Amino acid sequence: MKAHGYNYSVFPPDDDVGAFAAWPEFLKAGHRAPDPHLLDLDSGDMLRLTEVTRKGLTVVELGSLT
Amino acid sequence: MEELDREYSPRGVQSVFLYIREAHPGEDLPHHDSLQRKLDHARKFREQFGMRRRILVDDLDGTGHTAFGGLPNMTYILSSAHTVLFRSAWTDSATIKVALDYLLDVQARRREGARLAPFYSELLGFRWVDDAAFYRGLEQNGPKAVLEFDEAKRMWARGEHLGSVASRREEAEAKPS
Repeated sequence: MKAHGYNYSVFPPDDDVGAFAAWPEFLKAGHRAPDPHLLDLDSGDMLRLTEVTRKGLTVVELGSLT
Repeated sequence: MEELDREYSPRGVQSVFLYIREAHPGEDLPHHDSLQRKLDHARKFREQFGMRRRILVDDLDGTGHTAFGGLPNMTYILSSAHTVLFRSAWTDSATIKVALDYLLDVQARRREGARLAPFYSELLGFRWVDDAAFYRGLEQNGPKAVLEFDEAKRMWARGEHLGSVASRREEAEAKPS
């Protein structure tokens, strides 16, 4: 089991607070958004986020179960 | 956010949920050690919250999540040109509703021929704090998640994180925009 790294198994309080502190200077309004490859949960297809956003105004919420 | 989607999708606003890493893994909802586990958690999430929004799952390494800033509960509003129009470090539907109303009004005014130039602005949002609900969520994840968050709170109260915050902010400010 990996305690640290991206998929940490132990909540890292330092990283969490640090990420919030750095975020105000990160990817501000007016900038082009990242275009990651994502997996559609329903279809199982891979797609780029731009394939969604090109259709119009898009709200992108990021989160998880926990 | 589901209610917001029901209200705004008839007005042409799309809403997607990008499933990322587990913020507070526990014994019952552990961290993602495989893409399959991440997909299983995403399906459980959809069932538990009755999601009708499209769920897109990030890769196991969190490439998308990291590129968007790596916070546990962010929301962005993107234009059809894939430009960030709004961003929020915390998902709060009331704040997002304000932004959507504003942006839809801009679209409508432009359609009517108004000449509108973009400018940069910021807003400090205020969210409802519900510790009891948050702890109910942690308990669902498993006792480990509760213990780790309690320890984190003690650490934050002692100010042990302040050195790392200062260095992260310096790093971020040193990066060219």
